Amino acid sequence: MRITSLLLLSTVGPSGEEEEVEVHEAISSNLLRAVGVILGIFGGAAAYIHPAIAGMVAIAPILWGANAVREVANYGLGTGVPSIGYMGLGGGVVAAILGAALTGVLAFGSYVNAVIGLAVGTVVGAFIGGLLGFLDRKVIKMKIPVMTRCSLEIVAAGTLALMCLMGAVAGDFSWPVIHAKVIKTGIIALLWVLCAMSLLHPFNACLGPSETQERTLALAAECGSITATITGVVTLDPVLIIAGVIAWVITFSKFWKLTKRDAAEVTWTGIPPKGQ
Amino acid sequence: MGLNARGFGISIPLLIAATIVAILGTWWLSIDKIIANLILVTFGSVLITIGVHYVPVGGAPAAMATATGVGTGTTQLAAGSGLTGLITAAAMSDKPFVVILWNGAIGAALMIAITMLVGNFIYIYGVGVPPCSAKVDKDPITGWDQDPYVTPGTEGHGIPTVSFVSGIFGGLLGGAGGGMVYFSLYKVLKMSPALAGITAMGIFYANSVLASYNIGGTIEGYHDPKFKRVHRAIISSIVFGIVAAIFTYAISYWVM
Amino acid sequence: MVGLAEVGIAATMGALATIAGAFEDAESDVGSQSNPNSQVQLAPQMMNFHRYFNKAISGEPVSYMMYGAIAGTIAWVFMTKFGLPFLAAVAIGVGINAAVHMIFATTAHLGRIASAAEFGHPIYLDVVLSHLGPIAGFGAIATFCIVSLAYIQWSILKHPFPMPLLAALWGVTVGAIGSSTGDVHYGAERLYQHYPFGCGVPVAAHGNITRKAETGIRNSMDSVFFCSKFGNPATGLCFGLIIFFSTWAGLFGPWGGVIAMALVTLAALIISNRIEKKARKEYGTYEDVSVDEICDPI
Repeated sequence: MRITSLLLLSTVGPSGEEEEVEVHEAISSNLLRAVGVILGIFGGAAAYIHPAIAGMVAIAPILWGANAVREVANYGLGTGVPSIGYMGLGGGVVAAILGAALTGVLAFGSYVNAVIGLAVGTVVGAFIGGLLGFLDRKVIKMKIPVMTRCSLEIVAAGTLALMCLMGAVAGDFSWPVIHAKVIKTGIIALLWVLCAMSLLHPFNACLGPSETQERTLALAAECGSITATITGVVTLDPVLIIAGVIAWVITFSKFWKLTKRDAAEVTWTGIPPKGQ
Repeated sequence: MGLNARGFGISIPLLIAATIVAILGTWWLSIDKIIANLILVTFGSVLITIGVHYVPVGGAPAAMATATGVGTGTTQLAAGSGLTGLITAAAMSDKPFVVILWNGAIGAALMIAITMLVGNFIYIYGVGVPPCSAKVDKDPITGWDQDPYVTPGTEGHGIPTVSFVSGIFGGLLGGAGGGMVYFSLYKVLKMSPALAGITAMGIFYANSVLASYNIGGTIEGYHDPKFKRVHRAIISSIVFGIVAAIFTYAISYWVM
Repeated sequence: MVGLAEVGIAATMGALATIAGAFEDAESDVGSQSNPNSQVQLAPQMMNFHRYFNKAISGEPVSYMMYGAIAGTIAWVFMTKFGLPFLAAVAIGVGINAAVHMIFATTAHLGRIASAAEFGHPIYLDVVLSHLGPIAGFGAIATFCIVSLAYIQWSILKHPFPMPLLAALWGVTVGAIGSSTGDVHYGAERLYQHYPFGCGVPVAAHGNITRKAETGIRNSMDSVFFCSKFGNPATGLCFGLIIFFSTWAGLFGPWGGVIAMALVTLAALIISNRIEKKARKEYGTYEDVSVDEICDPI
């Protein structure tokens, strides 16, 4: 009966009681936020030193965003976890292009320009996310108390990750190069979907009663490594490819260890027992 | 008949209004860019959001023939049809506005109509259930009884005629909205096709997720009681459309 | 002026789309992706342990957008940077994408089953390894066709969008179609095959998926054998018709195309209404049937 009502709730969506869900954390969300913002902005701006730096630091905002997705999706969105990821990057792409376009009119030198562009893009992303969350909460009346904050974080993180990758593909976070190398070529579509998947896949893949934050974040880092590797492949940058593959091996083995820790049993084969 | 009046009464005037906006064509290029962009992007957002409410989607339960509608998520189907509309609209990039708009609209409607038709083939011949709705006693268009044809314990299955018509309207509105946003970004703000395309896609996704949260994942079409919530989504999409219009204008202002 | 070449392009695109749709659906059935996945996910909660593959990679539209974008972008990069011919470049793109596809499939399955530890569901590694081949194979065929569609549209039809964007957008469309047509055959019929034919699945039966195969315990590959008889080709037909009609209509000029597409849409409405009437007449009503009867496994 409990299951049936759970299922009905998930299909009916925004209704029912409003209550705070306690989310267990092994790694503090504040740490993830701080590391995501600082590494994302200052690392992303360093794309002109070597694109691989920007490509690899994109993992930091991805971890932040995946953690925010985890917090909000614990409530049950009514349409599945992925929708919040699409929303995050749907608003995020506008903010990211805005941040990149801003660098075209600034004249403070390459690095400062890029830092300002990335920071403004993140703030605009946070504004769009906050607005979308506010509309979800107050106008559409979703019964999720953390919706506004989490939506703000998800869009901001998605924007920042997308801008880091744009910098990695262009080789410099400045508008003329980004427009020519990222947008006109259509590579932005690839970066868009890779960021969206990196944000939504970790929690979506680990969904279930025995989900743990460590495992979800290990998977987020693994997704981020794949994103960096693919970015390296499309820019034909050997350093980024090698760094991405090494990061993938480390994060995947971490995820595999945590899976073995969390799973009820890992066996080669067997006949599933008929439950009670 | 009240339901039909509601369904047709919202969609047809909107399509006519969109066509009138489109017939003005190059006039939009002659007025101030920010005003033109504000009107077109906001109106496009509203069209997309209302379009999502018309598309009959049953979410995950529909894939088990437990709920009426197409067996997929709201955002998914709306995005699939809307982006098909975007591709057909963009193929007409150098044509007049009204041609872009109607190619986008009818491209999306065609995609959704064939998907619903093949969906019905599978419901009828693969699962063996007649299409029916559990939300109304009689189909508002055909007048056929619905209740006896609903499998006990489910909320209907398949895509009955009223949902089919509603879905076509949803495709028309969503595709027209996508085409309008694309026109505004491409022609009014003079973005490159790729930039306009990806930005229009972002606006489309954000709007369709807002709408799908409003209907909580499932809706049968304009006859569904949840359709009454559409005003909330309209307010949201107007607010989001205004913000998106300002930001897209800022992009073009800095780029030029 | 419409020549034979344009009609040929429309037909080729329709054929490629048909293959893409059919294999997309086959791929999603091997991994039970998208909406029927909710049942595979629910099963352990109902103490119904299984050997299905739980491939929860987002919804199909976005996962196919990713496959299309990865393969399309890599193919485009190799064509423009190294001047490789299309077929060689797309092979590289599809190959790299297949690796990414397998990684995402593995992490989704491991993550979901590990999170069902509360109910004691074990992870079977042979399930993971044996299903990865078909998943990558079907996915590669579908992705190849999507990228080819995008390439034809970009290079021959001169669409203003760049090729990677087109490949991504067609990925969204094929995913949306696959999850709304073929998956119903898998979710409503194959996953609940031990329930009577000819009815929807009542909420009370959700999660009680068929565990047994023709011989032994069922795994997800058995499902393709079933769905390839109806669900997969129907999905292919659906995507093929959409691509064919939208390309074909374009041959009539801007307004002729709108009228042609409107007529096809209207025809779809009429056919749907006719088969609905026929189904109602031939199948009859559920008036004498109770929920218990439907929920009683055969």
